[in-house]
Amino acid sequence: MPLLTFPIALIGLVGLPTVAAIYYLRNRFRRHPVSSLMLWVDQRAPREGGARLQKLQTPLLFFLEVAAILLFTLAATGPRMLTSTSNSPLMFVLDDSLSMRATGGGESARARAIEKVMAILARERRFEATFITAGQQPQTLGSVKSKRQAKQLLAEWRCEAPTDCLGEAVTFAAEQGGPRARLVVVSDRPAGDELGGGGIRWHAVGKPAGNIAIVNALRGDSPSGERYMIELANLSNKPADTVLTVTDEGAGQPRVREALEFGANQSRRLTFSLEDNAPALRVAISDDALSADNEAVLLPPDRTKVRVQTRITDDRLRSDVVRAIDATGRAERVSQGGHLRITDDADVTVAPRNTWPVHLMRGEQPKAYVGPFVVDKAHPLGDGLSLVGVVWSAADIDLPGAPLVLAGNRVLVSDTRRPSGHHELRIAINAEASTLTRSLNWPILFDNLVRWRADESPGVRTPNVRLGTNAYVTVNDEADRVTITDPTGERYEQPVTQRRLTIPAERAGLWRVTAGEQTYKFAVNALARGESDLRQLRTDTAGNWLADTDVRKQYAEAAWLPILLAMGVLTAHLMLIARSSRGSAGVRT
Amino acid sequence: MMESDYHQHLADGEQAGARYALAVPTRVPTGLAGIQLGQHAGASLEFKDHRDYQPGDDLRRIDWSAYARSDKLTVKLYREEVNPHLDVLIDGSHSMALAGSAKPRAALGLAAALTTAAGNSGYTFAGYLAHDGCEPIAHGTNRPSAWDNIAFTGSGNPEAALHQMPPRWRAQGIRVLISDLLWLGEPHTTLDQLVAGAAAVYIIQVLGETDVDPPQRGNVRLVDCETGELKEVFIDAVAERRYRDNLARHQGAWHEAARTVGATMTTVVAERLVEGWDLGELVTAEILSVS
Repeated sequence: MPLLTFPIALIGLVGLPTVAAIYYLRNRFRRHPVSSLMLWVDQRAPREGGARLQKLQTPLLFFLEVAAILLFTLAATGPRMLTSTSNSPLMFVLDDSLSMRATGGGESARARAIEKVMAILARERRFEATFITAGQQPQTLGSVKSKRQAKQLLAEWRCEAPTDCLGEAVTFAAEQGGPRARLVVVSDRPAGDELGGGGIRWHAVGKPAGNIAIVNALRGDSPSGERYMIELANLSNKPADTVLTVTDEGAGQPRVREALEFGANQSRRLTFSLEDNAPALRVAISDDALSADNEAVLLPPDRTKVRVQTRITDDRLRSDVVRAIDATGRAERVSQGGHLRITDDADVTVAPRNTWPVHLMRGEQPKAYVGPFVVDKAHPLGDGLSLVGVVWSAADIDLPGAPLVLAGNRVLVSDTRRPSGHHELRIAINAEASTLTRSLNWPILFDNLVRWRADESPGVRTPNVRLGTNAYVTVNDEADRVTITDPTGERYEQPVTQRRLTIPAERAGLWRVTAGEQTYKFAVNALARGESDLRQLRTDTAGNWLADTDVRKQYAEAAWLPILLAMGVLTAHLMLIARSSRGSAGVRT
Repeated sequence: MMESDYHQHLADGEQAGARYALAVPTRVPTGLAGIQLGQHAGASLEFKDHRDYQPGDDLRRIDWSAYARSDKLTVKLYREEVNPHLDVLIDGSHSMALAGSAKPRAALGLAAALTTAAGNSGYTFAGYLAHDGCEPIAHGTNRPSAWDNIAFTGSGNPEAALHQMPPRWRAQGIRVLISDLLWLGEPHTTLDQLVAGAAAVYIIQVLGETDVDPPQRGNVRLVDCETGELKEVFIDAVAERRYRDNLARHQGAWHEAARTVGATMTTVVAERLVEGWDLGELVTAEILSVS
């Protein structure tokens, strides 16, 4: 224990010479000749001892006081007792990000990390190790008590996250492991703020490298036809080159093969047009330090139109509705069997099963509302609506269902959800006296309506998603379970609630969701510029278990023990004083 | 040879005693008839008075004729006889020359003053020093400043010295013991020897301030100046009180013994006495009178 680093302890030690000096001065005997000792016969000798051997007695009080000072000094140094290290759990935080797969010309950082973990475990006689992966979120991989179990468990460590959350994972591990846990972080980047006050051993196993990566890949329709865009970045401080290939799914020959040269830190965007009904595309560049960002899959966009049936008697209102519907570009107007039926005819109340009725309710004696309007922004219809400055004219009609737009206590738009899962919307509006149809809110409202209805149709909301986001799939009515096949071919089943599935895009590649006879596909692409940049990776070791928090974790507070002993010593001291005072008034106590 | 200071002490006492005369004893111890009449009833042939018999009175002095007349026991009182001679016995032990105290100066000065006062009263005198025995002081019958060979080097006490070799007391003389009386022993043992055949006995206790007041508080290693014995004590209020109680108890025993045998005892503190050689305490004790 570094005693000299504890000022309070040093101050306490000053008490030792002080007490010694007091005792020396008090115990010093003055020589005093007397005529006779006869008047002193009944005086007792002091217990502190004297010059003559037969008078020497142990100055117990002195030793008790010295012992008390030493014990208090010891307590001031914050002593700790070594606890059993075998019971101190090991918490491994494993960087689960993509960059851990970078090879840098040899084995991957992940492989080196596993070696490091096994080396740490090899030094432990007995251990209980818990592995926590730090991907987008901290996740417990599992706990092991043997090296064999550890090796098996580490095989499940994939390193496919588009980012890491080492800070959160360290906090999570500390909470999970408790105060005595020993934290080990294994990453490819050096320690940053996560190291905090210490107590964490950080092993960086990365190697810096240059890398050309696909950092963006999009595919969609444009007024001039379907196109796709690819953005490539040379994440290196030196010029580099690569070969870009774009291949139709199932085809042998690439439709694009292009050698590209990059300057240092240069990015390039390449846009290509596609013919109608082009299949899925597989984009690839030459192999380099990180293979995960060298490939992307672009599925064709979902071109399914929302069928909209309009039955509106008011010419002006019909015109406004039709224009708004056409502006979405995702709807086609039909006269029968639409996904949406928009009408101002109050007599039409029965709708087919898959048709959502939208009632435009004119009413009598309309009133104009200028706000303030309250919009349910959490509802798909309320997204992007801003009714400031709008004059909304509507009759006093009580709209059933959940209110979506209100002017004071007057409900202007409501939604009624049927037991089948379909919706019935009501909009109270008098177009002639409203400025709503002339404002931007009108096309926004119908775009929200068409998009919402499209999302409710079976299919994938976004066929091409980035790694780490979610893919949303809506299945048909009959399916209550689906089979999901990930890019590695692994299949698992998942129950469906209200026809909707949210699938975390945790692995790059092509995913398939099978619901009965229907199969839905979406592509996950590892587009993470931060993970593709390998220039900041390092091999390093930082932090120490024997410092600060780690000491506290392995050593229990023991200041109470010397304090308790000191109190006992002082109690004995008081007892001796009391006894001496009773026994002899002439004896100093 | 004796220390030169002692001559000075004797001279100082002699000078101090020049103004005084030895008082005629007012309390008479048991003794033989003397040649000078005292103020009290004694054993002389001169009838003085009658008084009622008290147990202990000499049966030979009962006035039988008075008894026959009054049927009441009455004793005859005769005026005492006092031999006009003063014997001064000085305690010659080490304690009388306690280092740092004025005890030797006071003791010698007192002896000189008393003998000078005795001379003023027409008394003869002799000085004795209690060492291993009671030895006459060289030239002890001359004026005190001529005394010699006085040394406070004895390891015993006056009681032992009186027992070992008593002085050649003059019968019916006045005897003075100058001592600190600090030895363990029965006062009567000493006093009985003093009063035997004496017309009057004066006990003058000479104490130093270090004898009256205990040392300062704290740890003290006491050294017995006579035996060299050591004793380590811690002085506090209780120890001080206990010491003073012991001293008072010791002095009380001597006073009580002196009263019993008809001796007169007084105590002087050496340092206060030699400060101005005021012998008022001896006058108060009716040992001296202003001449």
